[in-house]
Amino acid sequence: MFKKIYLLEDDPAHALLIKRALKEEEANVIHVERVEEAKKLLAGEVSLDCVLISDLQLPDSDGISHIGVLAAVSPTIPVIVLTSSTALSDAVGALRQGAKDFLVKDFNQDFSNLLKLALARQYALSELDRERRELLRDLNLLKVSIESSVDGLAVLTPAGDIKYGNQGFISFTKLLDSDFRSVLLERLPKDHAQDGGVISFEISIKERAFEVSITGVAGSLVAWVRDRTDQKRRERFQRELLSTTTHDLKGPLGAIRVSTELLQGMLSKEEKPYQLVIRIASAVQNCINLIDEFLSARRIQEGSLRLKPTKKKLGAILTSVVDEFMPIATSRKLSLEVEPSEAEIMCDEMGIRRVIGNLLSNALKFTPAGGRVVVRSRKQQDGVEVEVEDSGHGMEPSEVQSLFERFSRLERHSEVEGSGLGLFVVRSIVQAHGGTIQVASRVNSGTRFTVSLPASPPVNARGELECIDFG
Amino acid sequence: MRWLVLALFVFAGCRGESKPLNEILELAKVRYESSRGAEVPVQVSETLKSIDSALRDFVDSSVTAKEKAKELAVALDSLTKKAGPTSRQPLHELTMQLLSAQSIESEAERKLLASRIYGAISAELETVKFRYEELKGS
Repeated sequence: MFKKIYLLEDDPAHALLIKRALKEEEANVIHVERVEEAKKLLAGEVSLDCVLISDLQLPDSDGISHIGVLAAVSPTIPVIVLTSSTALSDAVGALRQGAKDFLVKDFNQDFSNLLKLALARQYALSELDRERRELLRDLNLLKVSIESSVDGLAVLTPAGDIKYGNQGFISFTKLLDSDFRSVLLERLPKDHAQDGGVISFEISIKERAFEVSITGVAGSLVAWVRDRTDQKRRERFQRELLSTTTHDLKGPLGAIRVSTELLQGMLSKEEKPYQLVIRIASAVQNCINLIDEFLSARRIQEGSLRLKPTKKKLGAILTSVVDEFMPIATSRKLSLEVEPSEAEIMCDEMGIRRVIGNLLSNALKFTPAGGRVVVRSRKQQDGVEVEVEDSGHGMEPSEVQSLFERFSRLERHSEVEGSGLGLFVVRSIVQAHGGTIQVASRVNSGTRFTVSLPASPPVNARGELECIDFG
Repeated sequence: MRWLVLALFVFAGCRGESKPLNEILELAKVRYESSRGAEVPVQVSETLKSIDSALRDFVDSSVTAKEKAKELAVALDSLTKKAGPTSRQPLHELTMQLLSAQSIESEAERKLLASRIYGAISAELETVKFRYEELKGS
């Protein structure tokens, strides 16, 4: 309730009765008899929890004019008129001057309650008014923020008519004429009027790219439009630059690899230069693998990785891949074994070689010297199962969860070389074959990857496997 | 001397201080005295004299207070009919207070009621002067 009540009353008897009526109110009642005195007090008042109860017909005022004067002195302090006058003209006049309420003095037994009720009503109204002003202030702040945003924000009717659009949105519509609105309308979801869910999509008009998010709010649609043209342009430039550079690097790296192979033939295994050439060859192979993973990941992302399945003997592929990794296993003092089956499957040979190669590479990297890595395959009822098992460091369950995401690296083994793309490529290729990959791992015991491949993978009309980036 | 008392009362009032009932009654009497010069109908003048006299007895004696209150209520009721619209409501309310036992049981309450009756009559004497019917007719 009000903390301070100013009472402007020239009749001391009435002032006494009013004070008595307000006795139970926990407010400081300040009584003055003159308008001038009230003006001075109100002008210096800083608290918002104040109210003025004023009589009419005061010695230094001609009837009701002082109400307007006092309301103007402190607009936040409400004025309640309490007078003996029952004239309607006084009531209307006082309210027009700025009074918030008009009470007739009737000092009967209900007077105290009536006065308290009027004060409570006024306090509630003051609170509401304060809330309203705060809301208006916040609304203005929000409006300025929305208006000054370079992103476009619009409120649309379910039919797609624009109820409101900020400067950003208007500039898009001006820039792109009617195309922008018609493309936007085409993409509006059919059940768009529902509240809650957000629908996001991209639209391209006149070589410009926009990201649009639409949500239903109270029967309307709120559309947030961001111009992504520059960002897309930058991304494309970076992708092309990286792609071209990495692709161009493969040539010289290939030449180095061939040269190291030739050098190995010229040197005796006991000679020190031979060991150095082996190290160079291993480093170059790592570089080539990284580039291959990057290029494959990019092709998967773009949907341009072509996989063509043919009938192959799985055992032969596994043996060949294991042979390639044998020198690395030997140099790391690891036992590498293969248990091939006689199964035949329809698969993209290069793809499956990449899958087994990546899994094997990881197994050799994360198994300490003296450990064991086994590659085995089994024929299943409708396909085959390939396992790559190691006795290495193993992983925590939390590490396994994000294993197949792009650029996923194990924090504990950040010193080990790798792009974080290998297992992403593996999963994408396996999924393109209609297969699955599972991981079983225990810290300090080892890890087992199990790849299940169907006998007949799903192919499209061109007889190709579709490699889709589910990320 | 009267002006000195009045000046002191006004000064105290401007400071927003509460006044003792005696002062309130004195102020009301002063206001009433200063408004008595108003030209009122003869019958009203007679009624006012009787009210003034009855009010003094009403305040001073608790023995006769009830009897005087009834007398005052009748007199005020007769004046109410002649008063302007703004004064009618307070005069009627004061009549009802006079008829209420609670309002007259203590000397303090009687002083306050007397002050208000002086105040209400003064307000009427300063404005319509109990000539509402005449003013309405003109």
